[in-house]
Amino acid sequence: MIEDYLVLSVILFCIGILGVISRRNVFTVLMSIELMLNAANLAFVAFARLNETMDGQILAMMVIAVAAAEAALGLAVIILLHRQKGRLDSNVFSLLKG
Amino acid sequence: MSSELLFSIIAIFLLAALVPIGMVATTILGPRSSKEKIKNEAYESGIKNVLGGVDQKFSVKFYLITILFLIFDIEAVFMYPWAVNVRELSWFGFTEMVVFILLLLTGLIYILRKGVLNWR
Amino acid sequence: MHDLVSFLPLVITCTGALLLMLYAVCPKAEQEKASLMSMGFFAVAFFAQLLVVCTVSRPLFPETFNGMLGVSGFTNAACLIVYACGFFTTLSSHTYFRENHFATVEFYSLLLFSAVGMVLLSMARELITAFIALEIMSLAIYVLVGFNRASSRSTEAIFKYLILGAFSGAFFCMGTAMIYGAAGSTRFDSIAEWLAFNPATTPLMLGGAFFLLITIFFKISAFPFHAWVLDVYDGSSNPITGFMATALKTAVFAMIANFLALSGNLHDSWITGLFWIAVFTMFGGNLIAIGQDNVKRMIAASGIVHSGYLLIALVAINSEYFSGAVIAYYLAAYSVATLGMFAALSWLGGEGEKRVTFDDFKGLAKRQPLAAATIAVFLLSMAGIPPTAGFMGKFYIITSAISAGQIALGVLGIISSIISMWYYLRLIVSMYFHDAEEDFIVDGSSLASISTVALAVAVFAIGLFPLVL
Repeated sequence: MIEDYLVLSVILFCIGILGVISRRNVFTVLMSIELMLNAANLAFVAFARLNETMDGQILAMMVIAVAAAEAALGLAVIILLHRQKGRLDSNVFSLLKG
Repeated sequence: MSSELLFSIIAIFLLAALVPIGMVATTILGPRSSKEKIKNEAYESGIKNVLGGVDQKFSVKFYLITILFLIFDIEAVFMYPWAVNVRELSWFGFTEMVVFILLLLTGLIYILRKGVLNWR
Repeated sequence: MHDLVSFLPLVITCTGALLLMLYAVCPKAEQEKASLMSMGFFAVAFFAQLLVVCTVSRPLFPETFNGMLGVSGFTNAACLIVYACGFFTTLSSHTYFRENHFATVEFYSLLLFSAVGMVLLSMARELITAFIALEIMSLAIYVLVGFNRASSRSTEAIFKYLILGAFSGAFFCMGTAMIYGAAGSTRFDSIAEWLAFNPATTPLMLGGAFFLLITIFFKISAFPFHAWVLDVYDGSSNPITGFMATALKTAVFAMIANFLALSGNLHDSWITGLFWIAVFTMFGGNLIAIGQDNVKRMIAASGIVHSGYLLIALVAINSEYFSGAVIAYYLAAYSVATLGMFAALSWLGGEGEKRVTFDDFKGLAKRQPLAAATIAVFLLSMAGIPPTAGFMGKFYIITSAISAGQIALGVLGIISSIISMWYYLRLIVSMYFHDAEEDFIVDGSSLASISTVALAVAVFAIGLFPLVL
């Protein structure tokens, strides 16, 4: 039963990685990162159940708060990018090339 | 132990196999989308022009308020576990909460003085 | 009482950050005054940290924080480095913003907030605390990187750094979840207890530690995750680049050294991986640095190489003989030289950072002999020429590697250090053996020049310090 949640969490995490790597729209990339963090949250809660401690649930809450802060900054950066470039495709950001 | 093993095996398999497969698959199967313009437009159940043009200017305050809501909303989450255990935690929990709320309050004062919440 | 004293510097920095934030909305707020205030806060925090005498590792406020924070001699050293970095960064920003006008009071507030995150990170004895500290630090640094909102380069740098940083942060989170699943707790002492009876190669522990290391390698720009560093350093303003290169690296190394020193078990299972990553980081960084024309990018790439040396020290640590002193010493030596370099760049860079390439510094020695001499000192220290601090740092790292039985790693470290002379000496040659094409007239406050001189003295002071002992 618990395994199902863990498997789901890993699948979500992989979808998140895929989204970050292969999507070009900045919003989708940001959402994929949130998905990865939430996959970790699911794993925390599932492991809390497995270990029979409450720690995992508290930790998940902390992660949610951090994710919100990160999302807020991400949105602000996206607004800034949109004002400067007028587009949200990550391909246009190429002033700095390795 | 068995669940741990299962989890790890699935994790390793997915990371090692699914991510590259997915990457290749999206490049092969995914449409070569050049319709980025459409993506940037407002979407409302298939209706194209929602309340006039989509390029109408919104006040920048809307996005700031959204961001602020995002942060202050989440911080309320920490108050629920405290509220449930307020008797057990007694004064210790109370002082901790006061410190937490004071920190939030400085943020709020900053926002207020910056004039983000002023309509106009 | 002891705990209170150890905690005081952090409280001072945090209060300073909050006060500056409130000062920012005062009607009469001035950016220059704010920079002086933040200098004051960093200085007070530094001296308060000096008061903390701590020889053994112990938890901080065990009843309140439940063992989530702890201090040790190593942590103290890391905190001292962070505060000193903050202080000198403020000095160079003060000068930098005389010629580049985009500073507000919030800049200094964010600088203090990121220092809070760094200090928390080096004190963290629990993985989620470490994650939160990492995010406090990173979120403040992201904003500082993109502070120049008018510049599209800086916006691109913040975008790149934010996306990659958040991506790697998610790995940290997942790694923590896996370790929590394995050990049943995220506290370092509980994990160590668990590791004493279980092998570190159980799938969950191995996977969790792997994910954590991915994040750490990203933050210290180690080999497979180093590509962002050039762009982000290039896109951010000079003082912030210096701060990122030094203080951030110090805090992250403090955290990972504390984590790896938890148990010999854990460290042994990663020793081969760390070995190869250290080697690739050193030589990859060298290759990138040789190809650069831009001084800022060259220093960024050399930062990758220095991360490689620090990874050697990580390979050499073990729980019986914790070589934290070696890591802290090298971090201090590296920080002093890099901060000095960026203080000089903030001072000489001019408006809009117009002097950035090797050619721009041609003949600097003829026009500004003092500046050229201090830059030469910093470069020689980074290259590891005696009697500078960089030499002693490399010496300690390589001896610790050899005494831990990693002779191959020691030799490779020496080879990489010889290769690195190429690009350090190139700038010295261009400063001293070419005729000047311009006058290098810079107007601005003299604080950055004072800090370069102070740091140049510090290079020798730190270099000679072990001889005094």
